[in-house]
Amino acid sequence: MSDEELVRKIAAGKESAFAEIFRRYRERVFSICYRYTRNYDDAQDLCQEVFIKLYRKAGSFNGRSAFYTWFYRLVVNHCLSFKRKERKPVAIPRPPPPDLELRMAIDRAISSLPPRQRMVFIMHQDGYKFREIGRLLDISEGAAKSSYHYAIRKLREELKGYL
Amino acid sequence: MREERKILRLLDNEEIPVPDYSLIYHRVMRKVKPSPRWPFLIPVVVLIIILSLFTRTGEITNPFIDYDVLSSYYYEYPDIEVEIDGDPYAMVLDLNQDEFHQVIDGLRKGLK
Repeated sequence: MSDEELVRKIAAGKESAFAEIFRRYRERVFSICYRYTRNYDDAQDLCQEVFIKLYRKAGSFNGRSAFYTWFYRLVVNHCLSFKRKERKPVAIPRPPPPDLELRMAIDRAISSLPPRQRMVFIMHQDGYKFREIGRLLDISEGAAKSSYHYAIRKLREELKGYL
Repeated sequence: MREERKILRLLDNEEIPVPDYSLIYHRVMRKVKPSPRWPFLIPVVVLIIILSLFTRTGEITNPFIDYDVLSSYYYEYPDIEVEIDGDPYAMVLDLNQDEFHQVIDGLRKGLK
């Protein structure tokens, strides 16, 4: 069954259709949320909220675009409106091993990017073209390109020791 | 450009942790389809039933009205219960006797 048919069924209140969509997209959604937040708990919360939004907004899907385009936009916008909750920092008792150190550096580098740049970078990493990114984020292709280049420049500085 | 590729390779190689998807699904469903609240309505329904029974039998009265004071005098009619010493049956008998006497008197006058 196509995604579009499933969404129509979700709008009609069919739970099994929602379960199928959840199964199809859960990894992709979590991956975007995780790469955006750089935090496992936040990514879980975001992923959950995105699917709640999908369930509630399924009726507003008009089928003019492909489901994934519509859904990706929903995920991206939800990530952009995400405000990090105050969480207690995790105590690290001893010096981190090299891979953890690199991971922390990546987390730090990506978290330091402004939300728009971060999202453009993640979407480009996901294989989206700047034109598509612009369309999904309601910005021009040029703005998407420049956000990406600013992001790369900043990441290069942050990850200098690992490149 | 080379550094950009390095950054992307670095990020492509990172492992994305795998959450417990069934837990996420369960949480989503709990939010979108909350369990029915009818069990919480049972006490309210019972209370309504009890109240309706009481009001039907007239046991619930207005606390601001003194029902001993409130009588037919309130409506400017004579309080018949007071007048007949609280015995409506005697009053009815009295009324019947009066009527009876009136009829007898009328007959007597007619016969004279």
